[in-house]
Amino acid sequence: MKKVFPFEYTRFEKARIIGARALQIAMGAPVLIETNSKNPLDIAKDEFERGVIPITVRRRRDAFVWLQRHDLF
Amino acid sequence: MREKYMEIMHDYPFPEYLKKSIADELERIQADEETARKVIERCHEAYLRNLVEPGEAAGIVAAQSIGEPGTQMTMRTFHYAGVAEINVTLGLPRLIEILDVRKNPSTPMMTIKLLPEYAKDREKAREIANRLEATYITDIAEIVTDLRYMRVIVRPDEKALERKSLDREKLKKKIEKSLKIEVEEQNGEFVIQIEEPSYKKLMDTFDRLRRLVVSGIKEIRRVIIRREGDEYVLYTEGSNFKRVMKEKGVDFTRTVTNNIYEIYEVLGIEAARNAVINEAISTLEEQGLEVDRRHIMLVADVMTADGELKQIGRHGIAGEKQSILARAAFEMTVNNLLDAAVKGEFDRLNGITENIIVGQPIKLGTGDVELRVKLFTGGDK
Amino acid sequence: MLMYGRIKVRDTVRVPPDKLGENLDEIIEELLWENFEGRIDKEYGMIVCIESIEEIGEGKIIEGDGGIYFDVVFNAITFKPVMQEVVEGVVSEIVEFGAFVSLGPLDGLLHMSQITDDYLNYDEKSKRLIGKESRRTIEEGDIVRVRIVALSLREKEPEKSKIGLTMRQPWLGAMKWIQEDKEKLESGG
Repeated sequence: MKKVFPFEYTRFEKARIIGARALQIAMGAPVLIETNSKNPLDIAKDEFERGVIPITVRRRRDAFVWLQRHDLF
Repeated sequence: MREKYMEIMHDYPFPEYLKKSIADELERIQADEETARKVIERCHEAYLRNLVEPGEAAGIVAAQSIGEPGTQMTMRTFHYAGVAEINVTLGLPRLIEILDVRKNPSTPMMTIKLLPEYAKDREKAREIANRLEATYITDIAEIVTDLRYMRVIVRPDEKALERKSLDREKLKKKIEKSLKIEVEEQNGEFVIQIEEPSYKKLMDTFDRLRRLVVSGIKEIRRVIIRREGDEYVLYTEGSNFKRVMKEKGVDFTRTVTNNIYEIYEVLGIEAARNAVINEAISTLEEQGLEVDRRHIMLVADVMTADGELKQIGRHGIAGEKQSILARAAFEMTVNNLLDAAVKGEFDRLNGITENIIVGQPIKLGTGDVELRVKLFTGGDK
Repeated sequence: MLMYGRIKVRDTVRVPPDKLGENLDEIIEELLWENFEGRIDKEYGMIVCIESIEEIGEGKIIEGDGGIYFDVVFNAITFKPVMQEVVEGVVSEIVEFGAFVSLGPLDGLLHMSQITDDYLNYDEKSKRLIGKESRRTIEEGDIVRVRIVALSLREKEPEKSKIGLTMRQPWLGAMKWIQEDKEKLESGG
């Protein structure tokens, strides 16, 4: 039985993506959304919510897979 | 209806106990098939959401979750308590025993369940208890040394013999067989004549006689019969899993010992894993501490993952780590470093501990995430 | 004996975050020019120019840095002077102690003592070196044929690399002198 995780990113991945993006913005990268905020972290969070951050995660496994389950007893 | 629920859940990746509790709940509300399917689907969602995320420091969380209640255990002074008049090591000393995989725990104990035809009848249970309990000659007879004629005299007690369902003939044979000495019967007494007139030899024979187990299993020092529900259960002080399992009338599928190493030797690694979990849980629960089963399962998994029961400490998990720095960080820092240097070992800095020591980002949580740029050409759109 | 070569290189280029808005290929090319031109490698010599980019790999982001790191494969033209090689160059500067000869990407030093067997005088006004007896002159812009006799390439500090040259051998020297000699030989013979 194969099941994909019900979320796109783990909380670690989410933190890492937003963090990296906020650093980029702080270092002068162009902002990809219209916003009034001046805080890079807020902008990065906003961008993440809207799904425009051009960063993904390289995973060793793409899906959470139950291959087989044998009950031994 | 319950079968129907279980059938729906068959393909879901729930653990067995979760399936049971879902089925219980469904039964209680008398859910029809459609509702059941919906409920189970929602349960599945919730279950997946509650799984540990990849990258989570599961081991650290387990260590903390066991360690915090553990500090409370240390402060309690009573580590022994009688369970059915048998002294059992409890509390922190017992927990240490479990995690260290002691081959000889300080208070080995068995809980023996009986086959249905024996379990209901007190007499039959008594009979098995007699067969198990180690009986020494001193329990059923009086031993006297006769210095004048250089001999040892054994005077059996008829009543005691009967209680242990033994007779004189059996006793005589037993003595002859184990001491390899001719035994003479003189008006109800057994006389053992020492051949050479040596006081030492006499005392030697006397001692050996006293230690002789006439019937039962040597390790089982005491057996207590208790009624539990509608059956009689035997509790023993001392443990010999293999021999007890072979005994007639014992239901070996439900019989357990608290000596985990014995379980590992007799039943194998999976049984040992379950034993570690059960023993640890019951030790903690007895102290009124609640630790989630899954933390202890993780510990038991680590201990048994290689198919061999390993202790947590220096001679087991921590001592077998491949990284020199991780080993040195645990115990005996200088020795570990020196040995590694002599052998010319290599530390590839793959683990967490090593990288903390050298001050690098660790592969855990956010540190284990590899970021890639989605190709974006052109600027702001 | 080769002076120029073409090599294929794989290296990592850091694209700073403030450049992210622009076209990636262009930025990377620009960064490659910035980073690699003038760089000296012991084996291949000096990278003269980036010829073409073959491949731009996945961009990686490392913790603690907002930059993006790309693995890039590119072709580059290298220049590597070889000992004892005879080359032609243009005199780029005349100084008191000799002349600097441009060999293309790098300049070599032609010391006063290595120009002719004759004694040379430095004429400060016209920036020329004049032979005392032969009256032969050498000045900026002259094409010379020289031999490389000393080589010291510094990987770390390319600008401190030194190339030593000589002209005190038959058929070496300023092209105009060689022409003169040749004509003399032909008429004499």
